[in-house]
Amino acid sequence: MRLFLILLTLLAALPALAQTREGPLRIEINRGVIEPLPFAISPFVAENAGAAQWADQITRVVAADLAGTGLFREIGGDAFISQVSDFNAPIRYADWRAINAEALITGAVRLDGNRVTVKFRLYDVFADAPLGDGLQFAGDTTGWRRMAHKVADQVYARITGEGGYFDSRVVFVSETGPKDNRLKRLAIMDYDGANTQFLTDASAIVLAPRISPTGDRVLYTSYETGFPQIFELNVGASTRRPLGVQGDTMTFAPRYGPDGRTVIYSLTEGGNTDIYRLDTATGARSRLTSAPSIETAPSFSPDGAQIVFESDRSGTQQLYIMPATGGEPRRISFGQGRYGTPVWSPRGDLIAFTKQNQGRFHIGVMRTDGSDERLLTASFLDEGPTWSPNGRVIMFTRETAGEGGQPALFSVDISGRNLRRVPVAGAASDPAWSPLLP
Amino acid sequence: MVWGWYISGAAHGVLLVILLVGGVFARPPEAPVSVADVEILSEAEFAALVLRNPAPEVAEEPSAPLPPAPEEAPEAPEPDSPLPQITESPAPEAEAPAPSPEVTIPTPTPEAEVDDTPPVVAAPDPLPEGPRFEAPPQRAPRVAPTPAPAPPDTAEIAPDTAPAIAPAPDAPPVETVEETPETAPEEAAPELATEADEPTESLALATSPRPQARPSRPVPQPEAPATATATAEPAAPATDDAVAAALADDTPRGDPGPPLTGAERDNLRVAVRDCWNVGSLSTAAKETIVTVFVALDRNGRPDIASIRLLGFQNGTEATAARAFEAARRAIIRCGSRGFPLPVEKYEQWREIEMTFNLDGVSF
Repeated sequence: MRLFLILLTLLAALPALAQTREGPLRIEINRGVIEPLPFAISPFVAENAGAAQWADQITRVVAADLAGTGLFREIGGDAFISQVSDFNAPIRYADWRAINAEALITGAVRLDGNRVTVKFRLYDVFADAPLGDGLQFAGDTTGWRRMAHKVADQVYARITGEGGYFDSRVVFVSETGPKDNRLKRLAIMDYDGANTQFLTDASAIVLAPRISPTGDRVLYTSYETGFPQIFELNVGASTRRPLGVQGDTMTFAPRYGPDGRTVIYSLTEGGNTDIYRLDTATGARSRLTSAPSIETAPSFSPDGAQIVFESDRSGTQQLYIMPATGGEPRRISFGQGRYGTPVWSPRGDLIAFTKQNQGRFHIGVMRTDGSDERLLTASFLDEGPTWSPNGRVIMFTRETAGEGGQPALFSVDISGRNLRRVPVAGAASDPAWSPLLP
Repeated sequence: MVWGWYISGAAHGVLLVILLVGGVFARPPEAPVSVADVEILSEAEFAALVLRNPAPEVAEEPSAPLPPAPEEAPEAPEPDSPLPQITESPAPEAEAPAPSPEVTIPTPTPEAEVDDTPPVVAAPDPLPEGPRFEAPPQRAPRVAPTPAPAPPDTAEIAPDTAPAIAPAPDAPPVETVEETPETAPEEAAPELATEADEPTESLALATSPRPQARPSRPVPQPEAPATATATAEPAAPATDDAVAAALADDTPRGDPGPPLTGAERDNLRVAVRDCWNVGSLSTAAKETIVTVFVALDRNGRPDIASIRLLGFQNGTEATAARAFEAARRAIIRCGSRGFPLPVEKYEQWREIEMTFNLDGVSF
């Protein structure tokens, strides 16, 4: 009894003991705010007369890249208290703090003949210190947009802690004509819709392009023989070859493995569709599934060890994961509706998919075990997600309803924010995002 | 006695007369009733009106972000140059175990054409990376890794030194007026403060008297070695002085007073989190828990130089660095006007360890 009373007394005294503790006060902050980070970009300084045009254009592309993510908010030049007229001049942090700029970007551009040199610095205004070291990029004037994207990638990475995605390209299907007689051809553009160039003509319907991990080859499905068949297009050399041809079979839904040499695709033979694996160097082919149901839309995990695909073996279209060499698949989607076109995130943590439920289409993401499913969009028709190189943004096709309905490319952050239409000239569908360019 | 009855009867009579004649039981005048013309609708007309403005449907699915305003899709541009021919390559020979039928390459149907220019934009010459930039093909001036130091916010130019003039011994004393340097005008207040608003002097104590702290035991001062004064020491650098000053500040601080109440801690917590912007952090950086040290002055303003990362969990050094930068910005931004902390408890909060931990954040 006495011991119990002593313990009770000690317990009662604990709070008092805690209050008389030595050392700093300790608190925990468990919530923050989610707002775009305000940044100021001082017009890049033209270091010689010919560089003025490039300096202005590069400044605008860097600002557009950052603001387009939805993670940053540009503070207009009208609010600036001081101007940066010399790239090497010291920064008056107080002037930038006064306009609530948390990050400041300064830069300079020099033109020597046909060569542009861009250099920049990034500052943490409230810490009165630069964020990282200064960097410069040099290249031909024709590549000025790539240099601007690279500057933006650096700024993005230094502030967010993850790689950027601005210096990348997107292969897609450009569409023209009425809905019942649509002409389709492959095209490639910068991630932001600039610099569109066509890869094929409109003589045959083309579908679902997929770009290789090295960015120099494109897989796509063509109907030029009357039935779907996979081709591989070498973008630089403008050559192509059929892949996975096997008699009177249909091949479609191809996708590269992380090694760039392996291709997985669907093959329909005798009314049954299964997934095959092809070594493009040797031509060795192996069958990965053999169920009587339809298995299609395979996608490798970033480490190449697993494959996610869609199958209706359960009666409805659902997502499954199996080893990359084949084997017993494991179902990961259990929600209402039908799931399709799964794509593994470059970071390996999420799977994007198309979901059809109650007459509406969604783009969603879930963890690789099927948990934490989140629908990011909802519309008449959303489909075909593709991941940005850093796994932060998803681009997809959205088609409007009605006879005049047109497909267009949209992008959305994996948080569901910042839904934007990609400014592509004309109708577009089936985007495939490349890795970051070297 | 009889007179008492008479007086009582008279008083009651008067009271009854007042009640009856004074209108106490009279009905209050009726308020004027406003009359409006109405139109009688038939059932069909009412149904038509309701259908014109149907009730909003409740979305069963999570509401999706609103798409941007539909834009008129411009026509696809034509390629600038005629598309070159695509050359066909043979398909790789299949080594499948099953005998596969002959691979037939489709007859060259209308030859596809591609753009004349290669679609991959010619990459700029080897792009330098980080501070270890490779020299570009054409020499470009290297970017100094660190910028020039920022000028001090308030720089004063020292006046030219003038030789001191010794006053004449019989000169009358000169009254010197101390000049005060010009300062920025005081910050404007959102409200006008009149004379009536000025607080009058109160005789009440501002703070309750507290018992003095126990005097610290005198520490015997070590005797300086006799040789210390004999040898000429080189001038100590300024950093030594700063260290000495910091050590001198480690004097007993007396009674720290009562601890912060829960409400006072919450005030501080809310003040910091209002500026803790995690919107631009990567998922990994958001999941990294960082503990940050900060020292505050008596006004609750953080000493920027004191802010440092004490430790982190659930992340790498890179993600911790990004998370720390966001935390530092939060402390500096919202602390610039001073955190709402009771000054009489300064000893309790002069040094704070803040742990930034986003609970329940998914992707």
